[in-house]
Amino acid sequence: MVLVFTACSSAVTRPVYRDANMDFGAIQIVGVMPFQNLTRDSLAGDRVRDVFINRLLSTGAVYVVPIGEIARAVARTEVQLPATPPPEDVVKLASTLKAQAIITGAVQEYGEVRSGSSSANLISVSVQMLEAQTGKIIWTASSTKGGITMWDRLLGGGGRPMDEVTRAAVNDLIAKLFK
Amino acid sequence: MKILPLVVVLVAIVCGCRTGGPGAEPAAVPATGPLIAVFPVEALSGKAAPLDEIRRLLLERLRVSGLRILDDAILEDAVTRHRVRYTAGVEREFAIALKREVGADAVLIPSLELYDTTPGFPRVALFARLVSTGDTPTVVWTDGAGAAGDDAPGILGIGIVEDPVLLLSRASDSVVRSLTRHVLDTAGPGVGSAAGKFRPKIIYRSEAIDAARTYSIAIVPFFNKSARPYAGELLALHMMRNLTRGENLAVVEPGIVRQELLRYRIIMNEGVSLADTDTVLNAVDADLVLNGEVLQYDDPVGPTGAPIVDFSVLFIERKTRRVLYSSYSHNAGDDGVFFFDWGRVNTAHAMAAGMARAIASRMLHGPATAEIRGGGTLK
Repeated sequence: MVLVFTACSSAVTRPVYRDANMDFGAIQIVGVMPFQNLTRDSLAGDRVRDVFINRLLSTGAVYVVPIGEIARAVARTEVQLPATPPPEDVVKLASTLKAQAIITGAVQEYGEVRSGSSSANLISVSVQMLEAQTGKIIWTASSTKGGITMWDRLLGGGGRPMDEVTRAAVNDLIAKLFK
Repeated sequence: MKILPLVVVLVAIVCGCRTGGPGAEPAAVPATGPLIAVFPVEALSGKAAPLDEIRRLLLERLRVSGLRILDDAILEDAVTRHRVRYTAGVEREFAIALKREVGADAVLIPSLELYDTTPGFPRVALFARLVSTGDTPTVVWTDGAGAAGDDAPGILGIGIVEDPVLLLSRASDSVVRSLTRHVLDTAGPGVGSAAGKFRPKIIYRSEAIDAARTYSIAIVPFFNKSARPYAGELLALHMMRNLTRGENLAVVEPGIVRQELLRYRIIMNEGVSLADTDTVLNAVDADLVLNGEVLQYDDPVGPTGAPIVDFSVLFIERKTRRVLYSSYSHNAGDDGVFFFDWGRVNTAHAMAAGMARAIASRMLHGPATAEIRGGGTLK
């Protein structure tokens, strides 16, 4: 029974990387770059980034640079790949934004999944924090939320709304950052 | 006790007939108050709509309510003389000219959000804002009304309205009543509080916000990433409607902000930058800039489905160049609806109105994020 329930579990949690030598307490200002969108929903990246920025700001622990300022910095520093900047571009961006870290992200899954007659919303997102001085990765985490649960299979229902699933995944990521 | 159900049914029928029938024409009262110039209706519905007739209807209602309205011929003459091509806002020079040359004290700018004539399920939503004329045009009043034919179906559907013109007439009456109350100096409704389900889903509020201080706000166009044309302008109007009700808030006329954006050739690729914030706020002499993005603003099509509105807002302060308030809001019309469609919202207008009210209320009076979370840093 336990094996059956485990196999049907909808949310998957992946490991987190934290640079043991990094002083995270020194990070006061961060810039969140546009998220890479690997899904078919053209707005998935914008939506998840929006929720992530607001949630990070709402922790009150760090200040997040407005997205308009990020766009301006990208234009000024002529960064070619704002969603996946190489370390030298990270250094340039962080210097322009006066930020101690840059966060990049990728949305791998966003939308409805089906299995048999059941369907539910699913999101899978990963983020990484890059240090301003060197551009190296100091923290990464990923989260997958939603999907078809045992309840959905047995009793039907379309799972939780996409908005709720998105917030759950972002909350999970932020919780991992503050652990 | 046996006659009680019968009485209830009779009362329901009477109420249904009252809401279904056209409202009685109020008696005309002598014209008083400031002289108002009524601009053409701004088309934000994304569909063909009888804009001239809507304006005529509004003018008629305004005159009946006893408000002083500038003659159309005089307004047209002033518009032609000053070569005004943009009438969805008031530019500074024209605001001065209206005051000095024709004596108009204010400009009324109506905006049509929705005019859906789907047979059996009409929907209408209308906005209007009153802008003072003279050297510093300011939005002094904004209100709106949205209605769907099935808002109050009543028993056996006798309250269903199938005529979009009747809905439009009710929306116009509601807007004109609100304007008349404002002009006659009766106490305004204030920001008020919205239903709990409309509160923003994620909120950041800086402790630097001083509720006792007076702020002037410039609203720059919201980024519209939704499939609904003009959703950015509509959300800006919803925010303006609630911010103008704040006691310590003044909203700069969007026509002036647009004029400055054009003058400085500011092109915002994704959102307002700090440099843009400085330029705009210095040009219009405001304290805060309000910006945001709309990801979804959908009205239902036909009888099924529910409206969905999804957006985020951002207030940046000129003095500190910091974000003072930021929030993310998402709602569907059937949120919190469990039995017989009770509490269901039928138009995106009604939902966005509640969501914007909740934002304005929390922005002004909510607790600071630092107080809720206890501050702290990353560990």
